[in-house]
Amino acid sequence: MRLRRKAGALRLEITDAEAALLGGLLDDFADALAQPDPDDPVTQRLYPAGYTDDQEAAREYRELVESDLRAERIGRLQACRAELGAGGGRVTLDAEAIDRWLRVLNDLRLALGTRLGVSEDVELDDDEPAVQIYSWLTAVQDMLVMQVL
Amino acid sequence: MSTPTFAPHREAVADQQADETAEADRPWVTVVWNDPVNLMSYVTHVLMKVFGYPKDKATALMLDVHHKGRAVVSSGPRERMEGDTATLHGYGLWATIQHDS
Repeated sequence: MRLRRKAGALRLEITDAEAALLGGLLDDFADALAQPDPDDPVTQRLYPAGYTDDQEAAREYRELVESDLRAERIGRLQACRAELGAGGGRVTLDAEAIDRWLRVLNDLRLALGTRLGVSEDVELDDDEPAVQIYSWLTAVQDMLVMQVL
Repeated sequence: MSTPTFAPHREAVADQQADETAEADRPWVTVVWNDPVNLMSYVTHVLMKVFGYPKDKATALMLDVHHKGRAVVSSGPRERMEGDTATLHGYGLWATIQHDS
């Protein structure tokens, strides 16, 4: 995957294999978002409590906010999935698209990272395919954010 | 030499009312907490984007989150803090609302 600046916009060049991988991840994630399990640590990480010291306030915050957050997440994911299309090639990203891709990549990393039990102290085993995917997503997100920072 | 016997009680009530008013007026803050997934570069970007902070302020806040475990990123009325927190949750940051300490 490469990023190039072309006439003020950012162009993502992605191989067929990368598009297939990313498309699969986005599709799996879309399924998970559609049927959230409140006891799932991934759900808890994507929709953290707004208050740690007030259960009532936390409950009200969740009722107010969570369904909108979910709908917006799904919308961003669908937009990215559509841009990715059927295979490799080029995706031109304006500022809005960059922001959206950053957020979607971050969501994928949060989900996968939670599943892998990523922590500050434990080093991941990079023989594991899931770890390799997580590292790859991290590199892609970092590459993209450095372009706008 | 004589001590009014009612004065201490009145003072205590006045203190309590002052405390309650102070409690309601105490500003609320949004706190961002460290987590092992979010990239430092991404957190900096989000703070710049969401709050309009210049890069060095956003970087300083991010470093506080990273090294101290948490940082206050905004303060103000409770409703606005809930809005900020929801926006940050939408970016995948771990944020909470609390009274300013």
